[in-house]
Amino acid sequence: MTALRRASLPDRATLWLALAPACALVLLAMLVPLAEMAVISFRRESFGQILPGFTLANYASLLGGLASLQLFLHTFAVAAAVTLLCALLGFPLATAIARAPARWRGLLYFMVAAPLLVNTVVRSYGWLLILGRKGLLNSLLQAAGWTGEPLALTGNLTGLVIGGTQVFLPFMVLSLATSLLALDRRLMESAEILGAGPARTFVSVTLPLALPGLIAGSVLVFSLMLGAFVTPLILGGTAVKYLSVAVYTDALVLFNLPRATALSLLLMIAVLAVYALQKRLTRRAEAALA
Amino acid sequence: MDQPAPARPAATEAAVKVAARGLVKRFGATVAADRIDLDIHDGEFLTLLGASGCGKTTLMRMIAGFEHPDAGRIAIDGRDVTDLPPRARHLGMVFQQYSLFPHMTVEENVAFGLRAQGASDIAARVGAMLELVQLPHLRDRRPAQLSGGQQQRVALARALATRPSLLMLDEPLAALDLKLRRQLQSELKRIHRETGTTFLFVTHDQEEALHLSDRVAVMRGGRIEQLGDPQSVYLHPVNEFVADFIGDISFLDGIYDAHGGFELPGGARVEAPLSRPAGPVRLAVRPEQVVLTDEPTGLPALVAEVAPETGSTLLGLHLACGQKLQSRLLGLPPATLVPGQPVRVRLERCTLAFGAGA
Repeated sequence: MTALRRASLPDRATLWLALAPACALVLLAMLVPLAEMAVISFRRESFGQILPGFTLANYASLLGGLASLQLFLHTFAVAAAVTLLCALLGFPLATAIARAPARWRGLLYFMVAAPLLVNTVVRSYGWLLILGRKGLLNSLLQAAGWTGEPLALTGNLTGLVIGGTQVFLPFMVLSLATSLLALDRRLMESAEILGAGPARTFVSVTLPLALPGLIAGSVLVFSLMLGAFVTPLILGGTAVKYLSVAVYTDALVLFNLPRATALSLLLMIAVLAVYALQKRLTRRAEAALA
Repeated sequence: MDQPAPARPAATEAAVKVAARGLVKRFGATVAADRIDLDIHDGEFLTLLGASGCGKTTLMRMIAGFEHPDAGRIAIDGRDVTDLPPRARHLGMVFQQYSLFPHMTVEENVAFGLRAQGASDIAARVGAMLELVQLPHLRDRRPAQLSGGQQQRVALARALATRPSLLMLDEPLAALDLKLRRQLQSELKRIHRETGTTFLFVTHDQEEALHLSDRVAVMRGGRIEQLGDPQSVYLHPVNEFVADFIGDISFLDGIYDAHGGFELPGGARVEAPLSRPAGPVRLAVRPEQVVLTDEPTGLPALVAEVAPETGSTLLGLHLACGQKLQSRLLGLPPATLVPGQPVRVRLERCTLAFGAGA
């Protein structure tokens, strides 16, 4: 504190000093454990005991095995489906927010973001109440006579995708709305007076110009969903193969820490790759505008 | 593109391109259009002129179809378009902010309307439009790589490419600097002449309006105060507001004697052949009607301000009765003319007067 008040210190040094606690936290709480994980992922284990010496066997079996390939593909497919659904549901919502009068916008933003205030565990259990065998939806469908047997909407892919979409939709909407708000309404008016209908205006003007927001939102949702754990566990159940659930099982059920850490690191690399891809895509989308 | 020829009324009068009748538009408590009637003639350059908030933009946006009037009808080429969306009205529009599609090249921008309307001769038409605005060499550029003036010319080409019934221009030059504005003004006139398209121009700049237009509609408070050619609006304003809005003007309160004489408070007399009964009156005097003179019969005044303009000088004068007057001299002011100096002026051909102000 005294250092911050001393005016003789150059601004840059003051800034670094102020950042020091955060840097220390990242170093101690993230980089050090990460390094340890990386080390463990190259170890052998026996009945939960980590043995000395290094091996590539964990990675070899993960990258070479058909089961783990399936696990990866499945996880990516689910995350992609959730991303797509978020984009489809999020676009109209974000458009409505961007077009709303400024005094309503704050409230709309809050309504979109409000679910984030509720713990994911609670939200996922909430979906169980709606989608379960004796849940709200099945009761309604049976009462209406549309189905005899209750539909299996949880403990499988359907539940996982529905839950994941609801959990991560706010990120897509907020990201898209920011992009759409920056769009000059006169561009849409120009398209309209030139004879373009709503579909052509959307495809050739709105969508390309909202692309940076769509990419940012998609990457956010996709990577968050890749790493999501609570929702897959509660709504997907053990029947659904999901990376994060597999890591959990390896680490805390099978006590195979080397395998769990190797899997975690592969997941992390995948997420980083997605971010790198976003950087490239966004740069290209922005280059198209510059 | 190839629309059926518009059904025109029997050509006894100038063909009416746009007919607006009884247009009313309110935004909350604000009346942006107060029973507006307006005919835009085929091929003319008509300007809606007024200060911001006068309703000029709202009137244009109703014609464009972006605003639906609360009451009244709009016909274009004899067809009632009041309930048609903008895309079905076959119009062109140029915005102040250019509003080019930033992710498309110049060529793609100009082709946009042609594609949307399913035209067949797109390449030829785009080429012709870029020739018209003299930018064929920039067809592969993106808007961000163009100057403001170039962007506005591309916007013009884009709007004209579909051969619209009417081209609307919403303060298209307001974002440009003076020199460029002048240049684009003459270019607009040329393009208007060459294409024969009807132009509806919106501006708050009276000089621009007088310079460009065949007819000017001076607007205030959602109404058209006066509609006429630039000369008649300048020389024969229907009321004090229009007189004040168009060009520089001074108002002198005094008494008219019904025999060509105007008496200022304090007894000074000015010759003013007005066609109105005797009584209190407000005389309207343009600066170019106020001439410095050496004659002893001239009206005594004190120089209050000497403001050189481009090619002329505007003098601020104070009369003995306390009223103010402006005078315009050609060229630079004589060095002897300084604030505080007494001079004499003659008022020439003052025929314009309004009822005495409150």
